[in-house]
Amino acid sequence: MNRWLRRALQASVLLLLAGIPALQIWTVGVTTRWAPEELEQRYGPLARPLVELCARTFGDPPELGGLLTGGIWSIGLGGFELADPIALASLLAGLAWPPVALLLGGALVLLLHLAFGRLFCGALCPYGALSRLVSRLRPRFALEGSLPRWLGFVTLGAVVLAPLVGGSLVSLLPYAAVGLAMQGLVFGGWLGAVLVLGGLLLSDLLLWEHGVCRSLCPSGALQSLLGRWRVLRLEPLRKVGCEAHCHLCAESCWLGLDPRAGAPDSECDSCGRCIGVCPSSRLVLRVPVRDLPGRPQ
Amino acid sequence: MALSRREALASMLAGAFLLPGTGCGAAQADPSRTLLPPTASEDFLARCIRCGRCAEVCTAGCIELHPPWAGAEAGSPFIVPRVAGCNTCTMCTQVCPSGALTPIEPEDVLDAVDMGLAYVDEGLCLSFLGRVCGVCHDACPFPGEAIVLGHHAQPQVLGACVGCGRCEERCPQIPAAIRVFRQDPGSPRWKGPA
Repeated sequence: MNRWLRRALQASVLLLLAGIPALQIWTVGVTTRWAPEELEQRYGPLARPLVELCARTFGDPPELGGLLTGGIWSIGLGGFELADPIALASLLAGLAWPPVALLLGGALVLLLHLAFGRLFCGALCPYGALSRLVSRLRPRFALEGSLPRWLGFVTLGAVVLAPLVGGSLVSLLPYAAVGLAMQGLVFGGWLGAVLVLGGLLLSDLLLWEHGVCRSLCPSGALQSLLGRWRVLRLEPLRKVGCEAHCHLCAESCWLGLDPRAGAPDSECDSCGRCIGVCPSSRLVLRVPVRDLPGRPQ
Repeated sequence: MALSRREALASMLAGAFLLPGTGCGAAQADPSRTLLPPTASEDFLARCIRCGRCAEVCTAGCIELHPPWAGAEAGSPFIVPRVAGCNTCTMCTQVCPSGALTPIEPEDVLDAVDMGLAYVDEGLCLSFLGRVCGVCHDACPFPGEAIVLGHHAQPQVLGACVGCGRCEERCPQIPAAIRVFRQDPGSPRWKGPA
């Protein structure tokens, strides 16, 4: 994937997550006709300037108020629902049958995970985008090393099965925390989400680089589990050799994989950074065709 | 290297065993000052996926979300009626994706909503203390049906009360002379019929 395409996607997801609470508070502010002081009193300091700015710039809110809600965890786009399969799984683990719209929305995302593996992580995940930003600011004394990958499955098991003990760990998910923090900044009650998000980013900054994405994120773990059967794969071309002592691809991989050793396993998010740096153009992202019958090896 | 399916499964099981240690199932010490959003299902905490969409669309600004350290209730919505009562706009029920809230229209509110029941403390209520108030009646979305005023505007709550909490929000007495209690006998707020 092209670097600029990737950045455009990441920026639009972050904008969408910030835009949804802004659209909601604008709708509430305009429909209730509250005095600005009351808005500030109910929601906190950010709500009032936001409503005033939106109302001054755009006038009345569009009829979208109730039609664009949520975040990465569960989003409603004009009556069309998308949900994290983990949300669906945890609902089922709590022995509650989900409504059809949520079931379809979760199943659709599950299919995308099956088809593209971790493509979401590098291209769409809001936490992934912030984590990339933070990794550029890592100080020299930051810890080297990495966490074991199985930790992601430990967190996945805990998040999915939390309803069995009657609770929920959703507030701690890195990608949900980005949306919750933006929502909290507009609607009040931001402290929890900002602390969670800040703590995760701080661990990325000072402890393990991209440790949250590589090893802790339950969604990353689930996607790499489902990505075994992904259609689009990164592959080193056999007929082209690597240049001596070149390890640019391994250096460039934000998930800590090494494409020199052969096609990376399902932890690869197909971001294509390694393709961009390979001096001998050895790496390609493609639908593997070598197993087709009748094709010479 | 990628984990085998067996290793992944074992790790997930380990996560399940670690769950009690996270404290995420712990019941909160005192949920007594909170109500749930309208049409909350019986198994609300198991059904709520903590997406926060009810709080986003709430036109009364009354739905807040529990912080991550709130044990079993972390991330789930609640209403403190003394801070802000529900105006029964029903937007939250329409955006809830998980069935934790049942979608209804504003005209169904009287029949479908039962967030609690308001109780009047006659020892605190200004109208029972010789002054004429009636603010609770004015704040009620169903005046005459959920609450009626008698002599000297003394309020009487009727069975149709949906428990929205607007009376408690607007009550000029400190502490509030009219308060909403969940109608679940297991709830600490339930003080029995008045």
